[in-house]
Amino acid sequence: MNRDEARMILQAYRPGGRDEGDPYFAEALACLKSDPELAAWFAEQQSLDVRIAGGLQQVRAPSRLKAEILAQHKAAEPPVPHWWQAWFGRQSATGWAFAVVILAVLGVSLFWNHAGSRTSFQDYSAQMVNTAVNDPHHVDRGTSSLSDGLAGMSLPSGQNPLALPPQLAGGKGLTGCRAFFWHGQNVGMLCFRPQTGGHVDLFVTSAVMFADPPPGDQPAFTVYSGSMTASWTQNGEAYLAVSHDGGEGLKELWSPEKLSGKKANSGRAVNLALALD
Amino acid sequence: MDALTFENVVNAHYEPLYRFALSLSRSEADAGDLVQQTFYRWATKGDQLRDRSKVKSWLFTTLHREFLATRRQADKFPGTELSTEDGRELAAQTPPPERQLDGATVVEALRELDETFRAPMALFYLEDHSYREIAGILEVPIGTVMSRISRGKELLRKQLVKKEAP
Repeated sequence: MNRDEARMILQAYRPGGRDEGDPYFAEALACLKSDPELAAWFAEQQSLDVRIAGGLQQVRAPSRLKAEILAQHKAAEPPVPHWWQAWFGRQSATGWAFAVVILAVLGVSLFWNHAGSRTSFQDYSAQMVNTAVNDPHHVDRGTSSLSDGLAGMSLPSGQNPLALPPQLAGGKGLTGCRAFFWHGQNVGMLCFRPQTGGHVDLFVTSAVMFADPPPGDQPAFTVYSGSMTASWTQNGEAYLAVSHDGGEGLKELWSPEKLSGKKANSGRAVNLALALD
Repeated sequence: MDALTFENVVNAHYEPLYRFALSLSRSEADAGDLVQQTFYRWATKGDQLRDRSKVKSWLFTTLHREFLATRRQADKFPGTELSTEDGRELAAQTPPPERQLDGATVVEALRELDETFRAPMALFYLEDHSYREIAGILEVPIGTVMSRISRGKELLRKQLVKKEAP
């Protein structure tokens, strides 16, 4: 390495600086030991460098500048990414695919949890039988008017006509009504003393809340806790009629022969009767 | 992440960034704008920096880019006069030659260098970066940095001799 080459390299050398120990300078530094003229030049260079660097270090940024930077940051509150933005912004296609799978699993999980949260119509029936038979607070108010009774049931679907058995059509034998909640859902109850005799309570609620609602609009008869019940589903509503008498009288509510000597006035009533036959 | 909160980053780097900006630009106001713009970039894009140990280099690189962008803008509108007020103030504060050079004299001398040499010389005397890091900040080869430092020092020396002359 000649003197000019060594000068070129040594111009960029800062003793004790961030380049200390960099092998790039080693050979040029070695030349200083054997070349007094180069060493003198280098010493003069170093003296100037120290003065210049010292001068530059004296420069101070205005204090207001820092305050302005911080204030601007706080005021503007630059878009700090949400965790998911930061995460998704750095992900590859594999990451996205993984995220889609996670979301799908969550969706399915939520669906099944929702389905699992639905209650059993059997449990509902047992509870309603107990309510009908044992609850001393039987009705909220007494009424023989079906419109009053419907209002008193406070059903969300109160605008829909009730699908009543022929013997109860038009509110015949209605004596009172009640509204309450069961598992967060409105349940309406109508209390009847039908002409066929006995005492029947009709519970109506949304069929959606059940995992196993009554399968159709034809009554299914079941005995719960010694009480005969009839259940059916129509227009999205689950119906449960509970007989206090426990006998076969409940089935007679669907009997057209008992319609005060009149023929069945709707095809549905006839069909129900045929189904019962 | 705590060590890299916005305020921590500002505290750690805004002084040397300002010195660099002041060496590049022609006024304190321009330098302040460059530093502010650099930290704004950090606030909005800093999260893209994966190697968090390179914050300092990232900031200096960004400031240099901002400076080049500003200069291009100024070239498009040559009628816009840049302030020389700060330069006059700095010149008035030039100390006697036998003493330690003050910051104003150094900054003024750096500003009078051709832009090709100004940035590498400022980074060299800030002593915050190795010559390899300077090459990275200026986005030029290492050999180019070395030659610009060598040539720039000669030019800067001439500027200072002129200023120190009675």
